[in-house]
Amino acid sequence: MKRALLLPLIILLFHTQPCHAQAIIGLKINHDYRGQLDQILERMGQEMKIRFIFDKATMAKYPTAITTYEEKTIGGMLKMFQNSWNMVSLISGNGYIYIAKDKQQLAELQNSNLQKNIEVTESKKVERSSLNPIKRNFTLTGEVVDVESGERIPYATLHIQGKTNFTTTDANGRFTLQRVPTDTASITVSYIGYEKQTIELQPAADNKPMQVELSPQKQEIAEVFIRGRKDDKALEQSVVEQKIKMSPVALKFLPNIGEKDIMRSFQLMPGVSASNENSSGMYVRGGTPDQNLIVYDGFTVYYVDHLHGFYSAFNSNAIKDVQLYKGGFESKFGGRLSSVTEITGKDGNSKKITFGGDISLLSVNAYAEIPIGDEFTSLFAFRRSYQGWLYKRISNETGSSSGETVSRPSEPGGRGMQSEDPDSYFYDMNAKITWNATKKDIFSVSFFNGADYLDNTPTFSFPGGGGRPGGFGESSGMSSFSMDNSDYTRYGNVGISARWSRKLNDKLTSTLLASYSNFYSTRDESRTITYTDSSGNTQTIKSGVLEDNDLRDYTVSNAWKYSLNDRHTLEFGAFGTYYDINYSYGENDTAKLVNKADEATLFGVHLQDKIRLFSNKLTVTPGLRTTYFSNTHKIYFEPRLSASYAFTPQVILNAATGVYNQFANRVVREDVMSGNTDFWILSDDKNIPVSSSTHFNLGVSYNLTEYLFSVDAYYKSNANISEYTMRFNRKPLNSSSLQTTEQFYTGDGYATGIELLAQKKAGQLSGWVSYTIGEVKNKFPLQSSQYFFAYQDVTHEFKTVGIYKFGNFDFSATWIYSTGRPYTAPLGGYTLTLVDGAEESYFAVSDKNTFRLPAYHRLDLAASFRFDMFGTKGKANAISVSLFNAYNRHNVSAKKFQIVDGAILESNINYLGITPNISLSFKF
Amino acid sequence: MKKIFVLPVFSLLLLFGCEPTLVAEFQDKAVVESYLHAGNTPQVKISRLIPFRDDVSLSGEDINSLSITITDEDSGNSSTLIAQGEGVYANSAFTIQEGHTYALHLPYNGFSVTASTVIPSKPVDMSLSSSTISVMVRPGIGSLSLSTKATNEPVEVTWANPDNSYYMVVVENIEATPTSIYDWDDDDDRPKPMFRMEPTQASSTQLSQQSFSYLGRHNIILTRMQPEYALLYQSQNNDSQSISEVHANVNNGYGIFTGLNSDTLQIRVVQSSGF
Repeated sequence: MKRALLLPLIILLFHTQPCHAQAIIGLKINHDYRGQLDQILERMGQEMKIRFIFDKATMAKYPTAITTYEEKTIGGMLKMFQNSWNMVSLISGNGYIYIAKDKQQLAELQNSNLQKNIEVTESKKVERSSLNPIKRNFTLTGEVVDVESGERIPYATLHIQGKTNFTTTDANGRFTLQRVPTDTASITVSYIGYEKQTIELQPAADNKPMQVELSPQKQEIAEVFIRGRKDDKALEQSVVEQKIKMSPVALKFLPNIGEKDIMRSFQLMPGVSASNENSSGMYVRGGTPDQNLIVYDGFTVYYVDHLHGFYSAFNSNAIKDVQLYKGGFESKFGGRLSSVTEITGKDGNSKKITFGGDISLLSVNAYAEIPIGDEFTSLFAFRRSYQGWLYKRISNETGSSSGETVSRPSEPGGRGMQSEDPDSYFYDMNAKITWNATKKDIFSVSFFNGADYLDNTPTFSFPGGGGRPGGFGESSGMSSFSMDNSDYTRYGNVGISARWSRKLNDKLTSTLLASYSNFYSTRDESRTITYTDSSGNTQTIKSGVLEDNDLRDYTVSNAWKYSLNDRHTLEFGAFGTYYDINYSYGENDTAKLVNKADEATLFGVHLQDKIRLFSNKLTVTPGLRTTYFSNTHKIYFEPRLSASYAFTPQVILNAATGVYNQFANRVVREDVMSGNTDFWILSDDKNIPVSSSTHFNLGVSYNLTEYLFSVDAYYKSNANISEYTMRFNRKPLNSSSLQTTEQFYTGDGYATGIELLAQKKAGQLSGWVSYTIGEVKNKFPLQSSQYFFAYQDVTHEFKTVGIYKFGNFDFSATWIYSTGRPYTAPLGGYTLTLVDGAEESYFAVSDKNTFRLPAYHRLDLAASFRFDMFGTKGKANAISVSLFNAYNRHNVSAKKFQIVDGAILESNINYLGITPNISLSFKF
Repeated sequence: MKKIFVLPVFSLLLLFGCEPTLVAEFQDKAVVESYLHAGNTPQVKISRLIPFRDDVSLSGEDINSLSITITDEDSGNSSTLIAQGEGVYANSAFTIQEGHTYALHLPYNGFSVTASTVIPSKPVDMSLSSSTISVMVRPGIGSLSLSTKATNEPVEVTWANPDNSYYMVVVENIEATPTSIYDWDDDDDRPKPMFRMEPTQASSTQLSQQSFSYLGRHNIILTRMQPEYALLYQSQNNDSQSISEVHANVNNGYGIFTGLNSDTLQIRVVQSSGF
């Protein structure tokens, strides 16, 4: 439409004064101009001896830059005016160039004699509007930082205005931008959760690295009317990769259940399933949570749940950036089949000491950012739940008793008994110290520890000679007796990494990393009886079950990035991981019945080249990852290929494919009575093979200033995937080793689906609507010859998020609808009398996962009010109220079956009902 | 541009493609319960699978008029069992032989129900570390034990198990009127005069004092079993995420048809003087 308007004008020119008009159109622009359009035109007119006719007031509204690399001729410039602002132009017979905002104004200009405008010369303005570049096609380096805290911003995007050149900052916020056309160019820098900023380069500047300062999103209402300048999204879907970016600082805009939670927030985006309240681990594109690699400042995190999975183990106050690669990820990542979540911890404020935190009905959360001298920054964060109303509610609904009253084995009652409330909590702590040793070297140490302690233990004690009926009468001669029923589960992570990033020169950076990660899980369901007899001898008896898993991951890696030229960016590196996994299961004070120790080494190399072609319209990234796994004595090759093509700056196609292997597997031992326990084991190529997946992804997006529309399709072919049979012997039949052959099924499967997203990115009302249709099926030949729906299969998932800003208030709502998950139900039952006289009941069940639970849907609402206190500015404090499951939908997580008196009884295990929360966030 | 749509279309085809038929309906199948002991005559109990839903239709099969045959596959002898009522079938003219393989066959509701088992050999070298065990009369708090004086060592049952077969120990009080170790307030709480140890592939097990509920003579029955029977002792999950079927060895039906062989020793439980 726009082009159609300009064309008749140009053709008209050719008809009237073909030679003259063509000469003007072809006039070369020799300088760069910058400023208001009226000034630019005046200066250009003077220098090039051209007469522009325009309305000065109108043109003054358009700040712009005319650069020799963009608009090389007058004709090109006029075309740009038309494309950018729908302007119309006309070259008259006497050589005048009329420029107007529309046809009507053009006619007015022609009729009225406004030529005098061009005679005005204001030298001081003109001076600024004309620039002569000194450097051309040079390499620009620098870093992007937060203007308030001085903290470096990773993965911020920089692009040259009018060109398709772009780059992103690395994990340390540093960038190298190749082939900047001139040193008069404008660079746009953006990062989600921050104001977009345009930097005008100044000619004659020396080669010092540039520092770009970005401002975090502010709340002033006036700003939301500035078009195209608001990027207050907490989540952003990449248009060139299969990736979602998250800015934890903007998570406050999303509804949350009292805690800003990075894993829960990702679940609002397409491709990440949202209907699992009891798992913070993410089901990405039909993958299971253990198929999602989680890297926190370089170390792998093996367990992410707090409080039965209702919250994740990550404190968003300690996190700077999160990237979720939904599939087809680059060769620097490996070891997982499905996806990668890369978390970068905050370095801390480098300018001043900052304290902040949150208090909610669930937890207390506090952090401190302390700069030490000019070179060191530090961050400390701590969060702990307390056993308030909300903790108990979530624990009861989602926890050990799974929303049902579970009768315990008969326990003693009567006089003299004392019982205490069980004590359960979770906590996590983060610490990071960064040393900016030189201009080229950054050292950082990051520490993370999070744990849950779930205690269902009642404690009983009896004073001596209690005289209970049939009790420890005086005849027993016992002076005291106590019974301690332990029933606790303790699990958590410890991770630490040390990183040295060195920028060897403008083109080459190296990152050396050493990390340690430990996941532990202990379940102690034991009974300790202690008594003291009349002669003062104390005796102790222990019985019960003790289960313990301890995983240690020691990793060393060295990654390099070499920006060869504006077409090639090479990334390569080597890594080695040593796994030490112990699993034990013991009973009744005896030796451990199962004591499995696994040690293995995994090492490999990766290489990739990001190639930019056709004026950066096409980006192709071939890569290869090669791994040697000591348990199988095999080498694994994982070729990767991703590409994106920009048909126009708005319409971008992206595609990715690759092979992915997984060597460590998480096993979930379902236990409805006491809560699930998890443990990790390594593949061995005998009972548990190394699993592999091949991804095919294709996406297209239409990205406008305010709106984004995208369609993505994926297909994953999975081979050698294992599933635990869930039939864990309470007393393993073979007391010498865990019989893994009987407990794992192995087979193949696939996951496929299409994701749609429509997002309004800015404005007073923002949000998105997403829809995913998908299918996940597996086939385990030992179990069935047919494909069956995997547990995580969800056919339809619809999610909508709305955020409305009004003054200092933010209102948000999310609604989620998802097809029920598949499940297996009994078709019948029977009872056998065993040879010891015991009667046992058994189920005859349907084929695996042939039934569907009812659909899952839920509405969450939240409102927050921002304010200043303690003399702070920027409305960094907030009080928020939220309502989870606002219409109290009884979503079903599972069904439970019992055979009682020849009949099979069914009951539902429900997810959490309506739950309010209130929280206060503060910063000073 | 057309290529952009290839993958979505491919995905859609997969999503809405043909679905194989899966078993989601109740089928009226027979439940077999039969333990074949060497030297005994065979007995088989047949029952019906209890349907989960009320609205299913059962077949017209009469539990008491089925045609059940047992074949000794080593000798080739075959025997039709005779209905005894309540789904029980027997044949007193047929004796189970150690080491022989037996096959069961019965037609039921159009299904050919089959099963096969081998009668294991009798346990050898069974012995007890003691022929008596002393316990104290204890207060009635369920299964709690307080009798751990150093002198009260548990009794160890041992046997030879060179091939890692499955064994199970069952302890049964054989007194006509057993005396309880506990003072039970309510007779309904009184435990059965029988208890078991879990199946094991080891060659010994320990009987601790707290396992016994009654005084007097007890049979210690050591049973050698087939792996199919040991499956019945696995813990079972009953929630929809992990519910599964125990498939012992009955084809086109449910239940168990298995060979067992036992040896028995006796132990005497006596009362000690207390604390």
